[in-house]
Amino acid sequence: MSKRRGTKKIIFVAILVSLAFAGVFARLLFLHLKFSDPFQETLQESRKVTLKLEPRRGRIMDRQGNIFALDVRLYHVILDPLRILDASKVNELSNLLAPLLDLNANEIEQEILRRAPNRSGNRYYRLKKYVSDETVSKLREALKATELSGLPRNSVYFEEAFKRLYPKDSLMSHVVGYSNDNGFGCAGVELTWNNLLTGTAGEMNTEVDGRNCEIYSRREVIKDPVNGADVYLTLDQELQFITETALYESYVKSKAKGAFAIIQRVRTGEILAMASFPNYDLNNYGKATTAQLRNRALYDIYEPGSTMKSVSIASAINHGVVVPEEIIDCEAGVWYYAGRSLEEYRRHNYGELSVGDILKKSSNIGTAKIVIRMGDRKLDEYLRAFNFASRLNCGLEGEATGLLNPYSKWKPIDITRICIGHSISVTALQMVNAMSCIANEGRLMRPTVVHKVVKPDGTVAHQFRPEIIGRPIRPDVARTMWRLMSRVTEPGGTGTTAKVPGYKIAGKSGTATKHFERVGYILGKNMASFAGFLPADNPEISIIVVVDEPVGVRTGGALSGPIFKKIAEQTMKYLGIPPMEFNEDTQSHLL
Amino acid sequence: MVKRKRKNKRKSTKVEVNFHVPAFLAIILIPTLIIGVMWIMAGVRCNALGRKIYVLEKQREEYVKQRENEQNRWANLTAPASFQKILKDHGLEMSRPDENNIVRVSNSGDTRVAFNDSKKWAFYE
Repeated sequence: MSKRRGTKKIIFVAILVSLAFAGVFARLLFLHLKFSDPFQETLQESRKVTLKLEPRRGRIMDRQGNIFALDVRLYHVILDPLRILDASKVNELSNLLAPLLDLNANEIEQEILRRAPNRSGNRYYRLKKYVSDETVSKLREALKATELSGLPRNSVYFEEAFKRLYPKDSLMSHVVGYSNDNGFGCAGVELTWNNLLTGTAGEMNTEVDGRNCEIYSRREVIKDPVNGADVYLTLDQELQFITETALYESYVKSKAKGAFAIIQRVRTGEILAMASFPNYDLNNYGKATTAQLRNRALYDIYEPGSTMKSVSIASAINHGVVVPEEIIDCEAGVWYYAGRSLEEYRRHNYGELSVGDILKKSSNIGTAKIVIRMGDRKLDEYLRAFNFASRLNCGLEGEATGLLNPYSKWKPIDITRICIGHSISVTALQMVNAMSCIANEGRLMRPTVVHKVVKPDGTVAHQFRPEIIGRPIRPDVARTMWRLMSRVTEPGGTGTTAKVPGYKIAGKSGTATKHFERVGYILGKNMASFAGFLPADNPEISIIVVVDEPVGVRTGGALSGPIFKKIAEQTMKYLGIPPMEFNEDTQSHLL
Repeated sequence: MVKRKRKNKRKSTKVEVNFHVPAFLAIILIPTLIIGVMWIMAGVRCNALGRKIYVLEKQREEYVKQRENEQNRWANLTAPASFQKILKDHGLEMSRPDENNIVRVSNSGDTRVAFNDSKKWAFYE
């Protein structure tokens, strides 16, 4: 009887224990296999975190791979004013942080005291944005080393943040442009190529434990971030520096309102340098004025003056209305046409001049008399064939179109003004591209500033290919123009100041009085320019230099010519283009 | 002599228990136990790997950061303006050589060959 009783007890206990285990097991099953539970979803939701994985913005480099813009991870220094005040460390902390962050200790102290009493308010005080890695290390060491150990945790902490940096400061500032703190391009290449530079954000779901630490095993990357593509420019750092240095010197000296220059490779249309003054420091773009932010080489339109004569005469020769050998009567300085007089610059009383000499001496009357033979419609066609009055789409936003009325709206005298670069407005890019067209045997290339765009996985998203956008003149006419234009820089020409020893330079100077709305032309306010290409017998590069409203020396030949010379001389050396054997006697056959 | 039977023989306190775990229970419990242990081990392993991945990720981030900082510094140093400044600080003046001081070598004797084959344009192509 007793044996039976004992066995029963044990079996009873065993069943109880088994039931308890079964209960625990069942509960575990419920928990792990996620059967419906009223708290399950709430619990899961509170642990789940979706993180946005920020992509890095692509870099901008010149054609040699020199970095002009990149994203760097920096830190914001954050303070919790209330904690600092509670620990009575306001003064000590302010004195410690101020020298390391280059701030005023009193100002920090006052700011902490101002914010701290507002206990319900914001306890997040961003003391300084974008602090470097080294400074943060110094701060950490200083905080550890000093007697501020009584400071509660998280009174001072550092937040990581991406910052767009421009290591070359103001060099190439207008082409590179800048992006704002939200990572959106606002100017230059940063704006135009924003979509490719930005990349795509990734997404990750994960869970955190009670201490807000990530449970790695629950991590699930939904989408990997794709970093932005790298943009390689066609511009060259050295050539840009050469151009900016030469231009800046004259810009300051001449007290000009602005100055801009472009170097273009004639065979491909690639822009090798594009400078504009005043410029700005890309790392401090917020301090730049509107005038500084403007890329004058692209956005400013101006009346080109005599530099247009090379285009007009090239068109006339191409159209067959004149031959280079022809002699034209330049009417001793004054000529009346359609009831208005046309005068030579400084009333030079030129008599009979050859077409070459008309270009060399920059005769307004000679050029006008030649171009009149073509008629309005043909001149208009030629100018549009050279891509004046339309965008070139060089890969930068905001390019101006220029101004040229349709020939049907021209007044009778307009043809005599347009052919000498008045009553028409162009951009510097259009003018240098027209020069390149002549230098490139009549092939008009599309100018570009972007060489290629490479994605992080190495695939090429965009590759520059030279593109011919027109053939306004024949190759033989273009070669004739090389000869005619190279005479401009010879003794007696208007562009002797642009002559580089050892090289034949083909070019044309231009001085145009500026036209103001409702005021008209104002004497003394000039656009002084020089455009040309070299070496004149086998052109490789074309250059344009424009100075806006210089004071003192105001002509293209006297002011822009020497800048052209400086740029051309240095560029030839840098590119390793040797000088030609230049014999003055061999030039006698030129007209 | 007849052996005397002891009447008040003390009863043994030992109790023999013949408790048999039902076979079906064993079939469920043992694999469950094994799976449970494996589950826990896998969880621990996952966490350890996760921690390792986290550390490596942090390390990679750190290297990327360092690389970017170095790239920034290098780009700043190699800016032509920086070169000029350094040269000026050391009292040096450098300019590209004059044409007279350059010896050009070409295969055909045509100087243009030297230009056309020049490294600079070759890169440009």
